[in-house]
Amino acid sequence: MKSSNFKNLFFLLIGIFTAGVSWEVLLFFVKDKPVPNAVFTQSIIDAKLVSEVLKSENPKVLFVGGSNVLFGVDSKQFSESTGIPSLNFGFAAGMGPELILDLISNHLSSEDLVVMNWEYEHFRFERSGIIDLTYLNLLMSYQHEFKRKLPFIDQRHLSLSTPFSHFREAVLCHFNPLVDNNIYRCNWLIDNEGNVRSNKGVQISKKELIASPSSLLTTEITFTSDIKDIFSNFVKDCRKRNVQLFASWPNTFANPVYFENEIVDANIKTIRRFWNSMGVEVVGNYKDSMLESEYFFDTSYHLNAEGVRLRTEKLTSQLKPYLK
Amino acid sequence: MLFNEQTFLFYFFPVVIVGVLVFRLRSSYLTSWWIILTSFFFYGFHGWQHLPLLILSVLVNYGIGLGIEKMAVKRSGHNLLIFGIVCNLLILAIYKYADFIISSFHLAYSLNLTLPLAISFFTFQQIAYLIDVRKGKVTTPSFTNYCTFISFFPQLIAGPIVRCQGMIPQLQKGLLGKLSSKNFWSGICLFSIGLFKKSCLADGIRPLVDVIFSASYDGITLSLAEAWVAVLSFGLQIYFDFSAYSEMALGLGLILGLRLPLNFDSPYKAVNIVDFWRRWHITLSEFLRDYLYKPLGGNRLGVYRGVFNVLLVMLLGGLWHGAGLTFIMWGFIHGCMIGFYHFFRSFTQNKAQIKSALLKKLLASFVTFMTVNAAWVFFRSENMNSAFGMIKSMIGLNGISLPRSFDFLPLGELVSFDGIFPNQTVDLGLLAFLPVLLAIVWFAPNAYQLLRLNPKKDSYIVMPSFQIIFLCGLLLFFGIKVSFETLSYDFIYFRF
Repeated sequence: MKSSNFKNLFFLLIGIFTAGVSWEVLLFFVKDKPVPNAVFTQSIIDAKLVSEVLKSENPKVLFVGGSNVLFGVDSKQFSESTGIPSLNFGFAAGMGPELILDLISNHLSSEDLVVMNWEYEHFRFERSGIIDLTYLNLLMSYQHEFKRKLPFIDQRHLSLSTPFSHFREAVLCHFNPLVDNNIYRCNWLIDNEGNVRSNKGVQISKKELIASPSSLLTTEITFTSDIKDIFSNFVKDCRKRNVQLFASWPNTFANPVYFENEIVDANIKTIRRFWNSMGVEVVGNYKDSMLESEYFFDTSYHLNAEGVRLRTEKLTSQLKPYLK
Repeated sequence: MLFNEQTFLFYFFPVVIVGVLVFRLRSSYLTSWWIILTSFFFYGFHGWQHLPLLILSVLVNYGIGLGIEKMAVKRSGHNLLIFGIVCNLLILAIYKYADFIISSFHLAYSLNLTLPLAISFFTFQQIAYLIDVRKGKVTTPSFTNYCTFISFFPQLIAGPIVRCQGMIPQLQKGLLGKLSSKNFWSGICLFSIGLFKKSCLADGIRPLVDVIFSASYDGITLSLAEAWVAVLSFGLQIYFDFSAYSEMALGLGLILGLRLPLNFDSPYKAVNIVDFWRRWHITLSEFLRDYLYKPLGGNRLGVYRGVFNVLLVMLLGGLWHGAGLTFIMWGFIHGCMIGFYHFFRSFTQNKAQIKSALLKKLLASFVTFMTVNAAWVFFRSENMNSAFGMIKSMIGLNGISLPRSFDFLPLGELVSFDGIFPNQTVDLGLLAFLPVLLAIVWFAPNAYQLLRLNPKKDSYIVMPSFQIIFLCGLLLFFGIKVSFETLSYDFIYFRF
């Protein structure tokens, strides 16, 4: 190989490296300049983290998951029925399980009980896979500290996955004097126990629900190594802290295609085996969380007020035997 | 698999290069077959169901080519040529135009055929080959070289439409897989520039285009400013998209040792519509000129016949891009513009030459740019209604909306004061991108000028300077960076 080739390669690599460093610097520059999407999601997180339930010294029950928990479990109804303080710790599913678990782990104490209702998509979560913008926008702004806890390679991957639009929006929102970022905050009614109170009526039709079965359930689930690590670390941490863990099933519209479907049955068995292998008790049957169309709000994961009441009632009866 | 996807960048292309390095040590024959197989894989990756069609097309056309050559002086050779052309056009017609024709007659059924990728490109390339064999311009190459000529993956999907005369001699000289420093580094630089243009510039402006055009399709009445933003943005999107593809194709070709023809040469710097077509999709223009316009008589049969020929050629050129009235209309507009240009020129060519002042040139460039952009409306719109709605907005027939702060002006009913972008379809952050892109188009040197390459001359390749390689490293990073983002978009010309 000629020496000029080495020189060319050197200059090419220097160019790539310079661009990489410049991009990291640009992202660092906007880490305190959140974009609208991040403002929205963080305002939900803030609403939950200020709850008195989290600060309570007494044992508490925490319902954890994505939006199927946010729009699916009524922790207030649960507390009234059992007398145990509880909190709805559901967020946008796009935030991914790792960040949600990180948020909760600082607030767990001995004898707490955590009920996990992960969406089916969460079992395919990969730090270096297809990245959800909700997760990315948070990590590049409010949850910058969490990003630093991730492995170096995954941090770089996240940086590369961040679209230019994130930087553009961050700069525009910050430097535009006409924009007050507070307008992007979530305006749902969230009560002190973390429940959304603005999902009252039905907005989605049965036809729409039938037409859009979740491909996440009807295609074979394979657990990613990232998700195995994330959950097993969380389980170990909970054991150390004497926190009880349960897994349940996400709310889904009872689409006829799910029934007598070999792939769905196999997926359910796989999920059950996964939890059992870590010693996590699975409460109820997946069909318990599959409801009819009149109980859904805007998507096949979000229940309306009546749906939430029914689902919570069922969950409460399933959890009661485990409550001290 | 797109050139800007990780599958191509991190897996496919490195494997191809390693294979070339290994096979090159043994024989150029093995290298050719390695490239053919990987090209078929590249093609099949988009949809395996159409790979047999490509292979069959190659086999049949090669056979017909051999037959034509054997019957060089006989009438039957001519018949065989006609048979070959008809076969090629028939396949193209069935896949590309059958459903369009059926729907035009409002018949109640459709074939619902999926368009095989690149069918327009490999069909035209093979028609040109058959005609050239019949005319005796080329001799039939070996089957290996013919397969490589048609299937060579850098140009297979979206051109350039390579002529046999340009490619086969290079293959016969054994240049395929001959990695030389100059070729390699020029190729890397061209590819990096193309990748940056596609990922960051063309796809960067895309959301602006998509949102406004779909609003128009949904029946929303656009304001004058919104319509112009959409049109200019699409003009820039397709410019950078096609320019990117052409540069990446040439770059990949160079890395693998072959020189592909220039296909894109700063078309928005054109000073008239004919000049535009000498710079935009150059190989298609040359194909249409040599295999359609000239055989029709060109301009040798008088001005009016010349204008008619141009119109016909451009109509077919429009139809080549897609089966739809919008593409036909787009071709018709270009045909009219070129016809008008020729007509006008026939009256002025004998008169004294007017000195070409810079201002005049700039004005001519601007007028060409605006008319070409206005014609893109038909190219991009989903249907004629949407296109005419957009045109109406562009000329102010749907009313003009000014900022609210101007509402003190007594400007009558055609003017409202709901803001410049009343439908909120325009992302203002992206809007700032427009002047930057326009400045690049008009004032920046193109990739070939930057790399001091002149694909029209033999002294094509110059080793890029360290500064240029450093710059290309920067661009390569950002091009690759975008491949990590969730969304990736096809090249616009992939669908033809």
